[in-house]
Amino acid sequence: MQFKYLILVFILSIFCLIFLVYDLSNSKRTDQLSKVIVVSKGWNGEDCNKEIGTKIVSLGERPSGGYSINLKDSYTVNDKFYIILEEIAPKDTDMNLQVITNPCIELRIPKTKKTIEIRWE
Amino acid sequence: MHGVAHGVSDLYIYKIFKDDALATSVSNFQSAIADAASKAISAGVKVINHSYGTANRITDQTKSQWASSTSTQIAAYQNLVSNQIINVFAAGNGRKIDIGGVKTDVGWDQPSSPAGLPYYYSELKEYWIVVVAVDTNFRETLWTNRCGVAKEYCIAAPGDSINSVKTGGGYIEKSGTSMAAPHVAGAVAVLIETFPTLSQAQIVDRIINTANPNVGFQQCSIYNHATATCTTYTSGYDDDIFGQGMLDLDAATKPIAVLALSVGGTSLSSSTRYSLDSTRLNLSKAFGQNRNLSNNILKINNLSQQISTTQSIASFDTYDNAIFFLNLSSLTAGSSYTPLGLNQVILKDYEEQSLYEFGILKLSGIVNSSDTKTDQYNFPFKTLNASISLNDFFQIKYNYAEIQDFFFISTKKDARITESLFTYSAFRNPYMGMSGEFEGLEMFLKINDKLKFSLNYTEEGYIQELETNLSERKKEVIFKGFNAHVESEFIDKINLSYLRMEEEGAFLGSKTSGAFRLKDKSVSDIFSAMIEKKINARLAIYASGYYGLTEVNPDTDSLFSDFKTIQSTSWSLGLLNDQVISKNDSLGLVVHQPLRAENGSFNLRLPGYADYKGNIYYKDHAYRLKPNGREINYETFYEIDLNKLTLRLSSIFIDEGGHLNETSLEKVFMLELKGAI
Repeated sequence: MQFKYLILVFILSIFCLIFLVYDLSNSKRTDQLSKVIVVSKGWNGEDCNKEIGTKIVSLGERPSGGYSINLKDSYTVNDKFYIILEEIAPKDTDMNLQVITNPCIELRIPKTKKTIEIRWE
Repeated sequence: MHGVAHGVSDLYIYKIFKDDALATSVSNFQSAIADAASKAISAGVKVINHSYGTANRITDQTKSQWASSTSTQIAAYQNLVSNQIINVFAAGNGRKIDIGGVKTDVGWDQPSSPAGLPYYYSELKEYWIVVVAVDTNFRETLWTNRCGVAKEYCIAAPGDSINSVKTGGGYIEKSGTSMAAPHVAGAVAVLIETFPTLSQAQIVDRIINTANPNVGFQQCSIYNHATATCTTYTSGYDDDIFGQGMLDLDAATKPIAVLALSVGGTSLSSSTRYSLDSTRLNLSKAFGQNRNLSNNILKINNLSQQISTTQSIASFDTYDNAIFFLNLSSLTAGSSYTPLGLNQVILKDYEEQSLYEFGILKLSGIVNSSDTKTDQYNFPFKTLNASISLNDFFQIKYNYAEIQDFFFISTKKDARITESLFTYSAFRNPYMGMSGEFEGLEMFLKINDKLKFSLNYTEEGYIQELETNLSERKKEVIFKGFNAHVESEFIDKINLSYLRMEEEGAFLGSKTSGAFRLKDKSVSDIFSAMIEKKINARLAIYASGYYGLTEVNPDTDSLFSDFKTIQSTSWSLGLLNDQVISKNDSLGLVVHQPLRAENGSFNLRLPGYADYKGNIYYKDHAYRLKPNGREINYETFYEIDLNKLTLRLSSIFIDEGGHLNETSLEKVFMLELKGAI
């Protein structure tokens, strides 16, 4: 009788394991970096608005030149498509043009039904 | 659209940032700026705009720290400055710091590096301008660094939403001290072009010293100008923010101190300076007068016409020798002619009175005429005549007059004809002013009933017509000379005179001063003759003529380079017919030419240009003094004595009035009432 319960618990554990493995396989990060293309970079919003279908990301006003946006990573997790960007800022000792800039990056992103989310690092 | 110095043809651009680098490390930058500096020096560049900088304030590091980290860069700037190249630096945009989307004022109260380098390297100052940015309302922009330790050589300029060129063509509005600095660099370029005599250091000084601190600067403490609370200074402004003030190119291109003419030398240093304000050549009527015609058209005389077409002359700001060009006509003026115009009624209520008479001594004159009022004159004058008659054959007379002198010479003439013409000028000495002070000693000698003789020595100072200040008038012109008067039965009266007129700072009543300075007094030798001849008991002829030779002695350090002798004339003819209708009336005709220059000329050596070495280049221009017209007055009058009152009707026709070549006759009709009323 006790053996019967043990077999039942074992079978349920197997089912749970199978479900867990299946679920983990669905959450796995998929590297999409190679499919995201940096079309252009610039200091003004207008510098990046060159091609149809691209996405523009701006940094906002910066006090001088020397600022830029780098595409660091992109990937999908579940139903989201993550684009990881980083702000490149000059060092205090770097020489820069003393003009107010609005750094931007223009990206071509592959077609996807997933939600695109931009994250800054 | 064009920039401040849009006429600049030689514009050099040196690349100091890499193609793909949005920020350049100091190590990379130093070699680039050193290379660019060498190229700029080789190309002869005079001003450089430096719209770059670091995020560090100049005071964030010590001199030794800067020296160790940027020695190559500092040496490059020293190299530029030693070659007298002006460096205009953006103060930096470090004030607004965006930290996690929150904008924080971290107190960027100092210019960034390298803009503030002269703080540690004072030898750079002379050729260095730091520029902070304001918006169109003169508000401190939310991102600009302040002048701080650089305030001595720091100014403000527009830097908010400035039209700039866009990559790939077109324009785009940009903001930053990088936008403000080129305004100043452009202004420097304009000044370099405008003032070729100035050194680069003087250009910097001019930019700094003409910056306007009173434009209404505002200091704003928060970051969104749309909702900012900005403070306008109730008095003064904060030079720690705005330095010496707002760039004022208009003021920088205008004189800072007094404009002066440099004459008599080949260089600015060796020439003699005359203030422009004190330099004047005011020409008298003898050289023709200017006249306003209808519709605001100005009829100008011959000399004025020559002067108005003269090329511009160079003057120099006494502040720094900056060159300014002006037209010679702004320093000269001709007297203006006013037509007599309306019919006149003149009332005279003065009369010479006998004051004292005892034996051989007789005093007469007009002691106080302060209540004298006529349509034309209202001024006091005094005369005094003291005569001693030893016998019927010899008389000595002392004449004194103050203010009004028309008794002189004409004393013995018939009042009816000598008072001809509205101005009483027909038979009076035209070289003399209407007013002044004179005294003379006159000796009368009666040989017999048929021959009388008088000799008059006179000295007098009279008012120059162009002078207005009474205290200056009396010493302006001195007359000395003799007047011989003969009466005989053959020709009735002959009056011959020789007078020497000495004018201080003037010639023939033309006032000169400043760069038109005369070395010595002008001397005019004046010869005159006047004849009266009675044709019969009722008819008499009067004739007078004046001829003058004027020698003008310009100073060697003046604009005059040569002055030819001036000949001048004036003459009158009169015809008097007594007892026309009654026993007490007379009819007269007078033809009269006022004083006129018949020839004469002068040369002016006009400074036309100066080069950057301070050498002055002159051009000689010749001017003819003879007017292009000849004024002739024709007067007819009818005069009748009515007891103590004299009624006089006259008409005057004036041809070519003011010695202007006019075709139309001027007509004047007058009614005069003369006598004690």
